[in-house]
Amino acid sequence: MVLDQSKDEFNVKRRNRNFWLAICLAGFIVMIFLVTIAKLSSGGMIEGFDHTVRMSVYKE
Amino acid sequence: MVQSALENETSFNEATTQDYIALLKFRVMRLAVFTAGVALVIAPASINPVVAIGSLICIGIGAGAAGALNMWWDSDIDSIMTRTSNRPIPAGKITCNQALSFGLFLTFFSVMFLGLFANHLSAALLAVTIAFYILIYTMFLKRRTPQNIVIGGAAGALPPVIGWAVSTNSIGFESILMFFLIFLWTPPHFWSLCLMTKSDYSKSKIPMLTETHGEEETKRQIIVYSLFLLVPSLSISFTSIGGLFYLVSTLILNAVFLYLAISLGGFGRLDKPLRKKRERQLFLYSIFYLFAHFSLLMAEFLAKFFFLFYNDFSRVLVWF
Repeated sequence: MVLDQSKDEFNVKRRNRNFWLAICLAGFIVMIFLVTIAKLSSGGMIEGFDHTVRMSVYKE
Repeated sequence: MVQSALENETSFNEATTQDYIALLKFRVMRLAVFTAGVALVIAPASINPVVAIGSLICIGIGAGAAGALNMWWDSDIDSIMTRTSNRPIPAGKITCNQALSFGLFLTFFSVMFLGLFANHLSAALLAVTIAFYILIYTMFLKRRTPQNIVIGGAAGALPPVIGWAVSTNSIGFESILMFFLIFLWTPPHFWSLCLMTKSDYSKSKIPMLTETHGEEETKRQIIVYSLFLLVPSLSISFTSIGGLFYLVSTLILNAVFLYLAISLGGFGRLDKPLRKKRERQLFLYSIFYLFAHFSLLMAEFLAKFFFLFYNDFSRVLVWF
């Protein structure tokens, strides 16, 4: 009886923790998405150097 | 056999979400985010609000990571002190290894994403802040010298510099003054806390000033530092982020701070209840003092912003 009660408590704590972890992960995905949109909309140079020589990676 | 294994498993003190939040030292985290946020907003550069919020979250996580690593290293003394004995590690909710991995993961996460969201300078500053807090303050200074909180205070003073760097990608003179404001505020704030909880520090054998040099010297140092505080706070008034409103307010705030410091240590011996009351007053006021300073900077910025907006708006009206 006592064992069942403590096992239930253990599961409740773990479920609660996993729920908040899921919320954090979802928040992280949303944050990455929003920052990506914000960076892409700012109009800055987003093309990086990829070991290929081309004019667009050099500043005038 | 199975029964016994199940009993062992269920008797384990499973950590809750609140325990992990407690590991982040939420109050310190809140202060770091607030000061960095104000510096980020008042800095003379525009930043996308989404990038600003993302960066502030990273700064908050970085501050939390430093708190978790601090609790990992200090778990032995935390269990001795009454004030810290119910923290997750001494309470047996989280193991030292869990706290260490949690702190390290959050450190790498916050530094990496601040670098991606904002710029490399702010990420480097965040990394330096966490490293300074853990390696210099927690591991080296805290248990060795009564100047621990004076030098270690630099870590807590860096968030406005990070916030400023997020916005401007540089370290401005104003952000250095904000750094010195928090840097010089930390010793009187912590020493007033030490005066309130001095038995705790003597139990844990941490060489706080109250233990090594006595209460009278600590009170004298509090007065000295509350005088030093005038320098950065008055200097800020004459920079681009300050103004007349800030200057008048900061004079009042510093005068009250100095009065409380002197009334605690300068008017001869106080009887115990009055002394306890004064110590508590000074501690609470020191929290208000820093909050008020950064709120005033924000208010000054908003006032200038709306004044400019109003001027432009009236020019538009005249044109029509």
